[in-house]
Amino acid sequence: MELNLVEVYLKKYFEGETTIAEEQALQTYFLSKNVAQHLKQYVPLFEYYEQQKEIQMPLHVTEKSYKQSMIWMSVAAAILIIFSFYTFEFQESDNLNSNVYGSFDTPEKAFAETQKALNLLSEKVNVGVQSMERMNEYEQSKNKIFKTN
Amino acid sequence: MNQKEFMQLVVPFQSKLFRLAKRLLVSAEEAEDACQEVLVKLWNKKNDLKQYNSLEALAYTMTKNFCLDQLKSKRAQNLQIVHNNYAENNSGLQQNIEDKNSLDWIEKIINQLPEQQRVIIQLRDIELLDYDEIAQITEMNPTAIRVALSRARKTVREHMIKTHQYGIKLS
Repeated sequence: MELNLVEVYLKKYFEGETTIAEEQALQTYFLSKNVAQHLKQYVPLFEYYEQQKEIQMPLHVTEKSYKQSMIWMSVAAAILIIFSFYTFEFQESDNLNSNVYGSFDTPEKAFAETQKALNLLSEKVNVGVQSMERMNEYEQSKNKIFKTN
Repeated sequence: MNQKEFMQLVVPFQSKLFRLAKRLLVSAEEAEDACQEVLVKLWNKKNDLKQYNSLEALAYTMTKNFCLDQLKSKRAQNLQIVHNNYAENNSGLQQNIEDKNSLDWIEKIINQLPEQQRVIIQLRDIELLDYDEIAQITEMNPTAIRVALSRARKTVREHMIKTHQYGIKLS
């Protein structure tokens, strides 16, 4: 845009007399690489307006969907615990020497297997608890940032 | 009208309301709260919305009024408005060297304008509304708008130029 025209528009601009089209023309000029030296001081202003146009309303995970995902996590963890417990039990029942389902030859062996089972169970419970802890962290940082109503 | 229909009507201009609220309240958090309040009010009026030729203009007006009320009640309580856009040890428009050409400095200048001028700058220079639309939202006549806009732009220029010269003197 011709420098003369820019200066005419600029004068009108500060009087509040420019049309939207003329203001757009000024915007284009000041965001271009060819701004006259004595007008460079106005560049930040038009850059600021351009930046401000892009601001969007922030989106957050809502309370409702967070609670829902918590519920699904606990259900999944519970299923995992129960499933791993039953899986372990089924695996041990193909001992050829045992007649009765679930029993072992010697008390020592029974004790060892029981201990194994309990360890496995506590392992699985810890996995579930760990993911709960992570959820708790999320909840805490969320509460730090956002006002809870 | 169900919730889905309502959101479809409102979502297109949600960010515009947020930007106006942030211009007045400065804090993004408070601006979000204000927008939520306005949405609730609009939802409560959902059966009357058809009588308005521009839902957007109505929402803008409600946002502006809500934010101005917030500012008024804060002043009445003599609360100091503390927000993280301003350094606590700066009073008025003292400029830090680091700010010199940054957009933060422009923001500080604009956010120190009187509220009405801030609204008009936001609606004209950022949202690009014409004088008739601005008149509807601010309930001012176009001449008054032009005068306020001119005043605002000149004030901003004055503060920008002042600091630019200060910068040149140093170097």
